[in-house]
Amino acid sequence: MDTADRFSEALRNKAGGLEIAPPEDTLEGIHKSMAVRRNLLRAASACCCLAVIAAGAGIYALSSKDRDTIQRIHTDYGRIAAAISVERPAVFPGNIGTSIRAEKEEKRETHEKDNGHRHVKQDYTGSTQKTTRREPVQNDFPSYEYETFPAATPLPERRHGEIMLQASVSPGTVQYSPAGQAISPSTLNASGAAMSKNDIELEHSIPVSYGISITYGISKRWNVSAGIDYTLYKSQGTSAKGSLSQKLHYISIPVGASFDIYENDFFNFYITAGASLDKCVSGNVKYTFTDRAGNSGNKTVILDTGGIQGSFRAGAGMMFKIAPHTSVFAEPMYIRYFNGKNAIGSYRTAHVNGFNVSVGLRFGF
Amino acid sequence: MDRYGSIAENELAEMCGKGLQAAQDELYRRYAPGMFAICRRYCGNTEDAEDLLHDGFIKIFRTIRRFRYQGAGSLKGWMGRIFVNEAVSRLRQKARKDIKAVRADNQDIPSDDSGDDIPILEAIPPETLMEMISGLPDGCRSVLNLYVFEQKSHKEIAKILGIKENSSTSQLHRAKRILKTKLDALWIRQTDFPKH
Repeated sequence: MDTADRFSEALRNKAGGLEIAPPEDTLEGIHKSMAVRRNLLRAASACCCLAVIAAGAGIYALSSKDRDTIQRIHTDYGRIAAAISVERPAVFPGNIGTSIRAEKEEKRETHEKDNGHRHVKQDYTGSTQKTTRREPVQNDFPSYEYETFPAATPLPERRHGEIMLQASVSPGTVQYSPAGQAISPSTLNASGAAMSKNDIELEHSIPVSYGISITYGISKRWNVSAGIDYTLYKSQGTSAKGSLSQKLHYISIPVGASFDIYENDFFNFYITAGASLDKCVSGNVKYTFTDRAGNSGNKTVILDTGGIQGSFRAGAGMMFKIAPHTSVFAEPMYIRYFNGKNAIGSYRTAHVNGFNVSVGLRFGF
Repeated sequence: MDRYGSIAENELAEMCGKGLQAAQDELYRRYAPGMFAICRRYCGNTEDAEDLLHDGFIKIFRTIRRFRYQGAGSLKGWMGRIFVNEAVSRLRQKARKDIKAVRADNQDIPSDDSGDDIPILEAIPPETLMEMISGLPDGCRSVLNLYVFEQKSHKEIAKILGIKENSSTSQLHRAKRILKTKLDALWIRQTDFPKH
């Protein structure tokens, strides 16, 4: 054999399998770097959410500008008409949003009751004018009460107590947190199956919630809601010894509040937050295993599902009116699960923080 | 952690793939010394070796989902390859710079192939040899590592480092020459009687 190769071979034999103790803090540094990366991802997601909200605010701001212009045209019309003649019928630009017209018509009705007298209470400059005329219709320049928040434009008058019923489906999406603790020790102990703790690692399917809720408008922009939800959490695990499939059935009672940022006749953009109480009402694990003899069997274990858990959601939402009294909505939300001690391992224990999008239908009454 | 202490490599890899920190810690516990030795071999100094260890493991944890178990030792082999690739991509620049610098004055002096130094080599502790290899100049150290430990051919080394094939050959000779000189010096220092 070539001595040159022998030297290389000797080198390899000597130092090939060598192990050198690494510095003490490297592992910590590795975990820190990975955590930084995760946090960056979270920050990026939060920025996206904020961008969505900002876009919504932008839409709102832009549309309020249009409203201001329309208002100005409207009230200028008023002053000009009042100055010239009280008999000329007022012609309003046809493209004023239906919401303004609706409000105006309401005011018109109240004015009509005024014994044929019309009082323009206040125009937007604050000075008062009075006019009298024979016909109760024309030259009606209703006053507007301007909201001072946030850009002094009025929202359509919401009838207090408007109730909406909604049915929604909410799949959880975008998991960015790494999986946490797998199947809980208490569950494993209860199984009695031929699988050791080390063998089972669960994969959690993304849960989907189905629910109905009622929303009540407590003021022009604020709503509160309450409802009831059903969620199925499915998990599966396989190992050399067999496989298991776990199902948890949860009933939740969510309550929440939402704040409308922008609304017009067909579109509503809002932010919402809520909390819910979640209770696992039933759960089971089905084990399928093959023993050494090649026999396969399965066994179902009913899980002990004590305890109440909770979750918190916050996010934004958009709603589109697609038919009279009917809207479709989408709500991307941040969700955080509160699981308590000894919770059965499932998607909500593995992904304590996450994003979730609810979509559904709302019906107004 | 006891929980993962005796777990098989394929399952350990799977758990790391799912992001379980305890599994990652166990992977590190088992393989970091071996990987650090690779880092020390490739890098010229301890700081670079530590950085490489840090970055190499991050890369491993991020990509371990793609690892396919292929028998005993395949995990270590896969990890080692990741480290070598990381090391080479960091060192490529330095190696080429060093090789260009020496090419002018270092004509092809073949190494002494008498094999005299092998007994000395076998007598020294491995850590000492590691120090010697770390102490080699960048260019020939990279070539030596790839040739001796990764068992690449000169053609492959030339491609990996972006140098000419005969540069690879002469760098290997250079590395061996330097190592032999160091081994001889060690022998002379350590023995009372002169070398025969």
